[in-house]
Amino acid sequence: MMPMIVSGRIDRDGILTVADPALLRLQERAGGKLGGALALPQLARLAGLAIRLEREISRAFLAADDQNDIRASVLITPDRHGAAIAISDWRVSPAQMQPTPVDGGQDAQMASPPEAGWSWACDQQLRLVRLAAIDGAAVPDGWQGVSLSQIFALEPGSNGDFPVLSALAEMRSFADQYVRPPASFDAARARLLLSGQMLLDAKGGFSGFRGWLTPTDKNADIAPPQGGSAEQMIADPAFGSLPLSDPRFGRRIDGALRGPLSRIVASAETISGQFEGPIRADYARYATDIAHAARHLLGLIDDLADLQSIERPGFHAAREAVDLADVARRAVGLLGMKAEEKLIRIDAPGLDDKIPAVGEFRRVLQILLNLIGNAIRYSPEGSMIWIRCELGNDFAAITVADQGQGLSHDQQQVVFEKFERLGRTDTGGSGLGLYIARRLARAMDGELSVESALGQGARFTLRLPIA
Amino acid sequence: MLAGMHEETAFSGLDRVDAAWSGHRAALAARLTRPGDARLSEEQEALALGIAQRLFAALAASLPMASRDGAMWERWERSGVPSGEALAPILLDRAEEFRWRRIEQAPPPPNAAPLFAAMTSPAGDQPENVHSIDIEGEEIEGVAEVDDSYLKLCIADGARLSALGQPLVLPSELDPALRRSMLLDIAADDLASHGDGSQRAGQMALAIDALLAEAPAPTLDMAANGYFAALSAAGTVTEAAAIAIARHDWLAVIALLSAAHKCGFARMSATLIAADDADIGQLLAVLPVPIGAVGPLLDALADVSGRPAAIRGTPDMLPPHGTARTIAERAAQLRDRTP
Repeated sequence: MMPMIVSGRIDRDGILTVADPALLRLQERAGGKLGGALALPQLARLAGLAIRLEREISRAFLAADDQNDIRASVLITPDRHGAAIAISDWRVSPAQMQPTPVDGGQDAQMASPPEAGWSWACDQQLRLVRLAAIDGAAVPDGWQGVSLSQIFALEPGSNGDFPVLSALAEMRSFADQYVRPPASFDAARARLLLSGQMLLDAKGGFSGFRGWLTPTDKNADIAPPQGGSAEQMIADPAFGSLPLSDPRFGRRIDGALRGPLSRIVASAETISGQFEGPIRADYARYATDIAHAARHLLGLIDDLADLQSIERPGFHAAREAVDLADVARRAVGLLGMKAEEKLIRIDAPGLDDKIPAVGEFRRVLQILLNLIGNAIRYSPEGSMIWIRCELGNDFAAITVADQGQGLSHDQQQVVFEKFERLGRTDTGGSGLGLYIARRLARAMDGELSVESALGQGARFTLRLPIA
Repeated sequence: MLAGMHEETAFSGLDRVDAAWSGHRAALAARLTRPGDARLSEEQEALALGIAQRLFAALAASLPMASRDGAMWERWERSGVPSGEALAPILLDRAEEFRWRRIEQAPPPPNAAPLFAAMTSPAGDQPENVHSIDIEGEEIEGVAEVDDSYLKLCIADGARLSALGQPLVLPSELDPALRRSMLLDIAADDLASHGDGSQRAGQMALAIDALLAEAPAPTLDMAANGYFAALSAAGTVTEAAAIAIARHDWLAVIALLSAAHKCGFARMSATLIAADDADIGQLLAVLPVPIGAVGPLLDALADVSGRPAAIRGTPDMLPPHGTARTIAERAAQLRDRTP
């Protein structure tokens, strides 16, 4: 059984000098040894940062070996000899990304065009770039550049996964994705079979799929998902045809994407950390970019899973006593390093401050992480963020104020809407965070509001019932 | 000439490289107008004739034809294709571009691990000046526009393939005068083959006038210009071009060069295929792609079989474009007549 805390130490040169058996086993599986450089890239990077910044760091961390994915929380405490490592909440799961060979028969099937149907091609974001009828059949208007899943209602396969998403996650071709076409197709009532061949560019990068879309028996029934009808499968306003309302959605996304993304993060960190010897600086930058992008996608998956939870009928948060000031201090501790990277100072509640409220601790923490994270992301370098607490007659409130660009009146009207990014195109967020935060606040009988003016920063206030 | 092309270029050797194609174009024109006069390779001829057939079929589909049984094309294949002279360069350019780019469309190897292959490839095969676009913070301004314009480029390119993946020249890409001429030829053939009918002739005329009056559809050239403009606004033309070469993304490479040289996608594609290494270096200088990054492009072009050799010589020694083409075409005809 895994001990509650797995400990270790590194010196100031990044050498693992002390390690509990579990940590040592992981180090050895990663090709390292006791007395050698820490071979777990994310952990080594965090430790290096903690030593350089001379401050304690607490983070989630991911590692992978040839058999397992490991997720854990790590607390790194620097001292003058190096840093102490304390790993908790150590969870091991089997590695999920098993590259599947492209089956020769499957490729042969794709290579020979069907007698009827359509050919299609999409880019790496699954946006259609070609849809052409083989036999003069109808092609729906407005398909150009639209996501595959917005045009076609994807049906899960026999194992509950979507073959196209699995193929995307595992970087392989597929031949078994059933879809339901839009009404503008001739074959509107038929199931269609979608096959796709993976396309790679000369550098080995995934550049899309191309394949065939062939009619199946027009009279074939469309198997409804377990616990729902075929009609319920299609046309979720936020996600096109993906059945967001299906409780299995989150599990499928989790299974299909989280594992591979975690491994991408881990591998990219390994490369960017240059643990197997120096590599060119631009390669290291690419790997850092890849890790960043994959972490962003992991965050998006978290958001989508949250979204699914809070939009389910009957969702409610637990009612427990929480200290808003304490939660704020914890959130600041988690995000402190991010703020420091931008030389932003956070004026957090003092240790003596206590603001008793009623809510669910982890949900309150989630809201404050979102508010403070946004404040850091959109504040200029060297600026200040204030966190203020207030205790009213029947409410407890906490306000996060920043010196960012602020929001216009119109922007304030929409900032809590789903997928609203106020015109931003960067990869900083999904546009779901504030929507989820407000829904969570209301689920705790509270409210999340904003006050701002352009150029004057923004003040987001969370109010909860007083304890 | 394809519609919408502006024959202005900063590359002084474009005409010279262009002239290298004149023999092939003359050969195809001869094949189209005088069937049996085969001087191209079987592959080139089959591709060009296939493109022509599909182009005429697309044009015919827009007219109230008496028959759509394909007999018209069979007759023309035997007796000669109307507008063959004017069509030959268009067909040949598209066919050769397709031959070149088809090399890159082979299925990926089994067990490909693309992400990691990209990161672990030997250090020597990455262009020195390739930088990723920083995905954090402010530096990604303009990425959405670039992404959108590249998507449009891919869509415009995808429209130039049939459902079965065969190359097409789209009616909308044709010069209006040539398009009108071809529509008239099709209408005349249909009337002649299926008995006269003044009423149907009138319908045909109305249909042709309506087609020609339609607003021009977006073309690949427009998409290429849009992509170039978006990259220029973002200040990342050089990086994007170098990355496109490294990835063998010839669509992007041709598009950027055609927009930079203002010469049209088809002509730039033909120019690249015929150009020698020095010409390609000169062509890319406008982007400007570092010379060290050009290797994959040269290698890929070397894999295209049956490339015409560019005629070397200093630009000053060359006569103007039209004259050069005429002289080269006539020389090719004379050579063909020599026993």
